[in-house]
This record gives sequence, C-alpha cells and structure tokens, in this order.
Amino acid sequence: MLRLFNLLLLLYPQAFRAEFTGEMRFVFVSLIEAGHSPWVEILSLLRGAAYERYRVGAPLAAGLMVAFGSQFLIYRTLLAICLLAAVVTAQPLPKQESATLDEAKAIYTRAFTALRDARSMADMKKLADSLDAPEWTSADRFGRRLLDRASADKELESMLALPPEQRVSTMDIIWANATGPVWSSSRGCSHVKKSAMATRCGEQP
Amino acid sequence: MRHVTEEHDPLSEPVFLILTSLAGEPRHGYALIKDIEALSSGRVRLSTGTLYGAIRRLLDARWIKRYDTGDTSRDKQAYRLTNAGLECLTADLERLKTLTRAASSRLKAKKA
Repeated sequence: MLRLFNLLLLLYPQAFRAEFTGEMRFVFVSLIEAGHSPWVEILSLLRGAAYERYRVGAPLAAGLMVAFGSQFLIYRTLLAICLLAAVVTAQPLPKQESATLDEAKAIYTRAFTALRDARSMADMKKLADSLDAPEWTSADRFGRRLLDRASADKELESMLALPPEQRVSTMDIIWANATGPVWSSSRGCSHVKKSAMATRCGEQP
Repeated sequence: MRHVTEEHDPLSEPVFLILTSLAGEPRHGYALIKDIEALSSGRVRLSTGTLYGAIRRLLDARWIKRYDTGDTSRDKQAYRLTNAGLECLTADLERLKTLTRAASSRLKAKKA
C-alpha cells in the first residue's frame, strides 16, 4: 500500500512533492496504523493531486485565454477598421454606357467571325489590319503589355493550322468604358484600348 | 478557493478546524488530524490529501507558518498560526456567532 501511495505522490507537481512528500508519507503510515481506511487516503490523494495540477496549470490556461482573447480583439478591430475604410473610400460604380458596350461587342463579334472564316495568312493580316491603330496593343488589367503587331501576326499564322471552330474561345464583354472593354473568357480577362477599337469601328475586317 | 482570499470570506470547515486546532498550539500533520477529529467529536476525519492541500493553501496565504520545535524531523514538520490567520479565524468566528444568534432568535420566535 505504501508503494501505491508513493506512486500516487508522483502525480503531484514537483514543487509540492519537494515540500510535503516526507510529511505526507509519515501521516499516511500513522493513519493506516491507527486503523484509517487506506482507500480513503488513496482517493483523497488522487483528488488532491488533480487539484494541485489544476492550480499549477491554471496560470498557463489563463495566459492562453488572454492571448487568444487579445488576438481575437485585435483581429476584430482590424476587420472593423478595414470595413470602415472600405465604406468611407468606396465609390459608386460608373454607369455603363450601352452604346459603348454594344460597340465593343460588335467589334469583337466581327473580329471573331473573320478569325473563324480566315483561310489564308492574307485573310489573317486583313483581320489584324482592321483592328490596327498607331498604338496597337493589348494589355492586361494591370497595364502589362501582352501583344504587339508582330507577335499577333505570328499567333494568327499559327491559328490557320487549327480548325475554324477551335480558333476562338467563348468570350463575353462584361464592361466597357471610355478606355475600352473588360472581358472574360475561358482564357482569362483583358482590357483593350478603346482608341484601337474606335479607329476601326464600323469597318468590316 | 475562498479561504485563501484576503477578504473575510467564509472558511471551509477543514480550514476552520485546522486554524482552530493551531490556535491552541503548534502541531504537525498527524497531530492536527487527531485533534480535529477530537474537536469535531469524531465527525471530521481529514485525509492526507485534504490536509496537505489545505496546509499548502494556508502557507501560501500566510495564515500559518512552519514551526521549528528543534527536535522535529522533516517528516514531522509542525505548523503554527500567524497573526493573519488568527484574524481570519476570529472574523469567521464572529460571522458564525452572528449567524447563530440570528438563527436562534428566529427559532425562539417560532417556538413562542
């Protein structure tokens, strides 16, 4: 029984054991000799060890709670600041000019039709010329240059090898403004200068 | 735990009995258990775990302190009441007296 008692003493925190182990062992032995139930002592030891462990662990748990709470509060505060900034600086969407949108769609419809119908490089060059302008260029929405005339000619030439139905992907112009359309397709999203379109607006490729 | 706070919160029965026992004279663990058993007419028999958990809390609260009797070994460390412990015991005793008086007067009124 004393061995079990010694074993259970190991459940107590180190500091507690260092302070009370000798006394507790003496009291335990004395109580057993006096006829106390050893099992009551064992149970009280288990309960006491659990309590002491909890007491030692409580500051750590409290610290974790404070840290988590602080993080949560900081996150909520930053989120609120970001939302407030978004509300304060938000601008209404500009009104879509239907004529601009129709014009952009019409140009692309004609260009794609011509691309599908092209049978020779001459047809392709004619198509490119119809879209050409002094500042002929294609840029992505971040302003990076994607295409110039020379590289466009190369791409158009390689497209001749493709069946007509594979030369263009499905495309929808979702927005057009004074500088050009923004469109989405299975290949991505781009923005073309309006001046390039306007130059050839109304011409057949 | 309520009995280690600085305010005069009600003491738990084991703590009250430990302080009462030490109010008489310094005692070591086993003597405390036997004295408390006698004080409570055999009703309260503290176990080792309960006793030393309470002793640790009382030492932390400085209501009791170790008492060097000269010939005691590490296994028979004695403890004695401090002034702070005496004040808390006195305060709790006054609280109990007040409650007892109030309860007694109510009972008398009901009997009358």
